[in-house]
Amino acid sequence: MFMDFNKWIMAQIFRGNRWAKGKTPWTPLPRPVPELRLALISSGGVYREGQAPFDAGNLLGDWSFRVIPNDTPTSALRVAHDHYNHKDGADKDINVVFPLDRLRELEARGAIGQLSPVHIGLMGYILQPEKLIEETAPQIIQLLKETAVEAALMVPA
Amino acid sequence: MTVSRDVTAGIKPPRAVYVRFPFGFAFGEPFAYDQQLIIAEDALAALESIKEPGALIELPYRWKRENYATLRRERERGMEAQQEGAH
Repeated sequence: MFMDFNKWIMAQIFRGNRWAKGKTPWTPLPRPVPELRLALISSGGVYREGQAPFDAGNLLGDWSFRVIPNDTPTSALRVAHDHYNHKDGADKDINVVFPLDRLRELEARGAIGQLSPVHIGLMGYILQPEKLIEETAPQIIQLLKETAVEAALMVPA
Repeated sequence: MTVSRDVTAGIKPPRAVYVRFPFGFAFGEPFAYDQQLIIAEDALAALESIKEPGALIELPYRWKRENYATLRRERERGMEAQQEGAH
């Protein structure tokens, strides 16, 4: 029984490509990056202190998301994700999966037009991608459209 | 950004930038300011340089075997020279 469950889990992980059979969508950049409003989206399990952590221990994953305000100090960011080494990386310096400090510096230097008022944290271990596609993604897209975001930098764990 | 070239090549997102760094370290090592900034700059540059849907740019960096401080100084000198040339 246990072996069968493991096999099932692996099959869930490797069925991701079935979502990629359609044509790659394309939105031209509306203006150069130094004039653009940019959001940061990480699937590294990033959340803000005080928010509920992701359900990292759930074998089926956690497809919820966290809204991270742009004025959040990076020292207040945490990671809940059981499927990558954040102990030696993101726990010490969140910028390795959520480079908000670097993007702020680029914004201050004029290399980015403006950072979005909100950024997004996800936990990349999701064995039910239907939930991500049908429930979570439309909510994130709506939120980013409301804040007039024009591009997103998406970072994996 | 991706650290898994094969997975991303299969999914074909509109614009992808691959860096051969370990899982969980897409922007480099903790507190490696120069390394993180270079990757962030290159990721943003790809937003403008990629013109074909599904394109994947591979960054040349070899994890710890680069002198990122030197790379960044050279890059900044190049930018300054460009600005002076424009004046």
